[in-house]
Amino acid sequence: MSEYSQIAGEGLWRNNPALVQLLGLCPLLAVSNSFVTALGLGLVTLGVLTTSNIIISLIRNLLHDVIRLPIQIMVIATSVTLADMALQAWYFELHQRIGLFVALIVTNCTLLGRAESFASRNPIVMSAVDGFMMGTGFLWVLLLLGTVREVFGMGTLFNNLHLLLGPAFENVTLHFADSGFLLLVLPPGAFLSLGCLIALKNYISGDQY
Amino acid sequence: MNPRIFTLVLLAMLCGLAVSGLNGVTREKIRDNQEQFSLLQIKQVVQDDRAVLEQVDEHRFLIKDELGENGMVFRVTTLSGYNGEIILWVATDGEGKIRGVRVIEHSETPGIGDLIERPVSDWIDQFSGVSAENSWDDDVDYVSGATITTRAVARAVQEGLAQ
Repeated sequence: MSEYSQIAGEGLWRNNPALVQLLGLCPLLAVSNSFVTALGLGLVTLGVLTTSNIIISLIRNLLHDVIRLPIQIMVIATSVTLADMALQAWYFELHQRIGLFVALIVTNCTLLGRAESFASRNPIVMSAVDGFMMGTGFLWVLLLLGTVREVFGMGTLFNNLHLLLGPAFENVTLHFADSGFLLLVLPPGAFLSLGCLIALKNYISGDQY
Repeated sequence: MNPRIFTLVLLAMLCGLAVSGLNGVTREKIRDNQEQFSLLQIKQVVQDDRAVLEQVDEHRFLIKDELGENGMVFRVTTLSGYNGEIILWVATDGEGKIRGVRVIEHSETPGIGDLIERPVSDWIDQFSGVSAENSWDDDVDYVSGATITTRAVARAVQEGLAQ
């Protein structure tokens, strides 16, 4: 059991893909301007990462050095394409907003990183747990960034949540102010807030660089 | 054949099968979604639930109501915005007055240029009732801070009307 809690600790905090490995920054910075897009892309990444880890781990005995990388990329690209089509079919409005970045999950190095360094060497259940924990680690950072940037940048929270969770959530938007600190919603705000978050993480874990 | 290449080819075929399989399941649903979405946007511009739309070509629809032909809906695109293309639907009535305008796609600055979008601000509603004869410099309310964006939209609507 301690093995699994070790994996969980690595993914969620000690070796967090967004805060420590600094992988997958392109989608992270791009979609974290509101809570809903962050949640949407975070969940898709989580699903794809777990799936690709499971598949890679299933076929790990076939992964000879020469063909290892092409196969890993192929598995990742396939699962992303499947997720993209499923989103277009069943969550069309959300896809309108995050569709561009779903395709970019292929280039999210977290996926190839986990496939290469974990899933191709470990049994299926452990790889699944690793994918899930890494994905969750990515998701919570994305959500925190999305919340901070939406609250301070736009003065709202949970805007458009119904696009993801259905019409029941049409009126859950919280309004704090009529306008916000616009810079945070724009691309520079993504770098600034992620930088602050990483600094905070390093402060808490007492890392010295 | 080299067994490793065989493995690679076999896995590639499996991946291809999975993708084409899901494509078969979702293709029609996706097409329906896209059609419904663009139809919904056109309906919003026309602002008349009973009107029937008759497609002329990809970018133009005739509006027909109980009185017969009554104006049309057309799509205009402009590149004079602040950032990339702005795509609009414009609906007119029989006398050449505008029924409504909607922006369906743009990448203007969020928080500044996105006021041309309907849920964000009602700026776009001022075009309703305007016709080509109006003086566009005086009658349109441009927004400081978003001058380029608002001007691009107004000009695109004006040029679309002229055609």
